[in-house]
Amino acid sequence: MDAHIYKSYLRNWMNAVNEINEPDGIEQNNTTESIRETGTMPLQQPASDIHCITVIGQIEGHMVLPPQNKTTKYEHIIPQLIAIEESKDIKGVILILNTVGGDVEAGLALAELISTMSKPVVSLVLGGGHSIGVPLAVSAKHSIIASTAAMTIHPIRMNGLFIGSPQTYDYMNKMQERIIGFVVEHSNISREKFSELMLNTGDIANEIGTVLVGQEAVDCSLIDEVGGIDTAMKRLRELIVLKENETGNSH
Amino acid sequence: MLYTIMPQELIMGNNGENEKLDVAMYKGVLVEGIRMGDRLKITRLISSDPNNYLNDEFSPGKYIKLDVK
Repeated sequence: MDAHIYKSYLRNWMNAVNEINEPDGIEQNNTTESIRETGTMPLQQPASDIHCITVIGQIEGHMVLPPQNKTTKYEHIIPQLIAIEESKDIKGVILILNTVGGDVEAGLALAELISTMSKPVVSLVLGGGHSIGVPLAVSAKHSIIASTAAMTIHPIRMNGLFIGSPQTYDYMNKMQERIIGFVVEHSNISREKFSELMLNTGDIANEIGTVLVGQEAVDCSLIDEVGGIDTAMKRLRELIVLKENETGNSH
Repeated sequence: MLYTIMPQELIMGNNGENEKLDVAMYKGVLVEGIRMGDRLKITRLISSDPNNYLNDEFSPGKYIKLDVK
């Protein structure tokens, strides 16, 4: 992938976000052309004060995955999050999740960025928010799950060739602890309950872990509520008003 | 390290049938697509601004001209 694209990416992005209503030369030409040629006036899209980040498929991090995988790349999401945090016009973010999991450190990096953003973020789990999608879902200020969406909580695994030593076990335990620690800190689930779900043997065939569907994720306090896009937008608007009142009072 | 419900062999096995995708910056928006000479056929839009998804210019299947320097 071309390095210069990413170099100009953040700069262009910031420009796009901050000068959303200032059309450049090309756009103006197109406008006059469409008026002259067809008599139509292109509709001016009002700038949206809510941005939407979608995380789909595999979360791709340190390793480039083969092309048959649908992925969300962290180098695409991270600059967007920074640009949103820096923008004067964007008030909130909705995080849409439909992911099967992926790279531990990429997932945790995104989750940490989202959880430390000053702007309100509401997450909505649709379809699936499995494995490393769990910390991503709880990283938002408010988390919502669709009634049919599923979240799989299972232990970290490694396959392939690796050195079988006590240190390997400790390393995996540490990796797992990073995930458990984040989830416990950013949701209302207790450490005991989350570990119990992770090590459950009765739920998945030939596998350790638990699949939580919709309401079940709310019942164990992992996710805040069951809902859809209407609930998500309502909660985000509430959080934005709350935030505006907070900053208004501090001055 | 991957933490996913997908089996490792499904992720890593490559049947080699997929086309290589390129990314390009177009009008301040990152688009992903299949390169065809000096043009890019858009397959995906990478943006957090919902308005970009309503913009006809960025819709998947559309061709954009790449800057050739």
